Amino acid sequence: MKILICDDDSALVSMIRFKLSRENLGEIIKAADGREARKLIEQERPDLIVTDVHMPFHTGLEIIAYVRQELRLQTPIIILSAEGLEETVLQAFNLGANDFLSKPFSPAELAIRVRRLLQKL
Amino acid sequence: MTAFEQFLSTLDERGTFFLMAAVFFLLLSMSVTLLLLVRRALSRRDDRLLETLKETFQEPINTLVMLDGELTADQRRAQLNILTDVTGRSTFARQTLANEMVSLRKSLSGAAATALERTFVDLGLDVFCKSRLHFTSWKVKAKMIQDLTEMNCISREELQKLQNHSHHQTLKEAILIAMIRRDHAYALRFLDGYEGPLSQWMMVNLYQQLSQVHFSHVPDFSKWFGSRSEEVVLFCVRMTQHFRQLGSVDAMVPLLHHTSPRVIAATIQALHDLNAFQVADKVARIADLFYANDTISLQVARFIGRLSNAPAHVRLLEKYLVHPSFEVRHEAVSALMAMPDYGRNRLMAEQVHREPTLYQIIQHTSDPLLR
Repeated sequence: MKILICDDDSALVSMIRFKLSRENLGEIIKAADGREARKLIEQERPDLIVTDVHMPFHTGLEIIAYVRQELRLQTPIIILSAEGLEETVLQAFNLGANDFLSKPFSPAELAIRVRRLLQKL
Repeated sequence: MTAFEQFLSTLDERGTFFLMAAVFFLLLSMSVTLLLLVRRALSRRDDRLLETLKETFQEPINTLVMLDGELTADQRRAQLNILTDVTGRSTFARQTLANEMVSLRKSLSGAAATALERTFVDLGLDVFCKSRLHFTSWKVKAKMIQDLTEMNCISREELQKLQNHSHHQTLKEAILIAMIRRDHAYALRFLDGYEGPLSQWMMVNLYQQLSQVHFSHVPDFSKWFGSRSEEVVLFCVRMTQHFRQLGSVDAMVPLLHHTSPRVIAATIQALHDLNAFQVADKVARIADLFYANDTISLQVARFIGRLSNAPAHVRLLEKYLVHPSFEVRHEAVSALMAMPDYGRNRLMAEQVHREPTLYQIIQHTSDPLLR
């Protein structure tokens, strides 16, 4: 299984990567911004995407739209957001996100959600 | 005699002056360029150092935080030693590690957050941050207060002490915000007797804190409508509006006669947002008093346009059609156009001649693409 983590906070990405690797959830690849995320999605075709909402170049919402509408992929997507606004949450789900976690979040909870989505594949 | 000396001897006084000026500016520009290059090189060196430090810190932090319950005491000490070996070398390294941990703390909750806070203390970074509270720069102090609050390393008493000794307004506000973050209930009490100014930054922070409190615990803001501080009253009117405290509408009416026009405008806006159509007469009554005030007139026009169609209020809107402010005229036109028994035709027939720009405003308002 290949999991893509997209967030511009490198320390947080490293921590998520550490946690998911420890849980043996698969190979972790990371993107520091929306542009890199789009490139990796196209090249690597990850089995699951964890993305922040606010990122340079393309937002997490744009990434969902790109995956669902342009690439027409059903890859599970988990959205992370610091704002937790109802509007953002609804927009993310309307675009096709599978799960939403509001920051601050528990990495242990994220790992459980990732595992659950991967099991459904 | 050298060629240069020969050249100099041919110059008159003016020529010498221009030559000296040219040499001076040439040297100056070379020095500035050199300075910029040195600064850029130093900045790049710092960036590289910062990146190296962040990479060095990441693995031990991950291990300490993610494997908190699994590490033996020796393993934990070993990881802490890796970090302290680096941070012991410079203040820059200590500050970088503190920044990294504080930034991570903002994104984490649960056991990971607790482990991160514990590691912060074990590394002595709380002591390091507290030592920086003695710096003279208020910016450094404010940042340290934010960091210590984020890492749960400063008590309410310590904050209170800092508050008592601080004279800088922004720093005082930063401490107040830290106190509210430590104790949400404090956000509900601190306005009691508060008479100082409230900056926009402070209001935004307070609103953010209040948004995290369950709505049943949000205070009735009307109890501060009588505050002597104009900012406190403004803040409370806005919060009444944001938290939709409909029960405070009656208490808000006396604010229509407040000494501050800002409070009056904010009150009308809040009443409008709370759909308080029952006070339309009271709002209309102050319209003449503040006809010259564009902000209040605009708010009155908006309020009346949306919440009333009484004949007296329609006449008020007609009066606003010739208001000196374009925005007020525009609002009045929009309101009258939206009224079923008024509308575009009546505006064109009866009013358009009163003001040269009215025709354009009506056209503008009628166009579905410009509405």
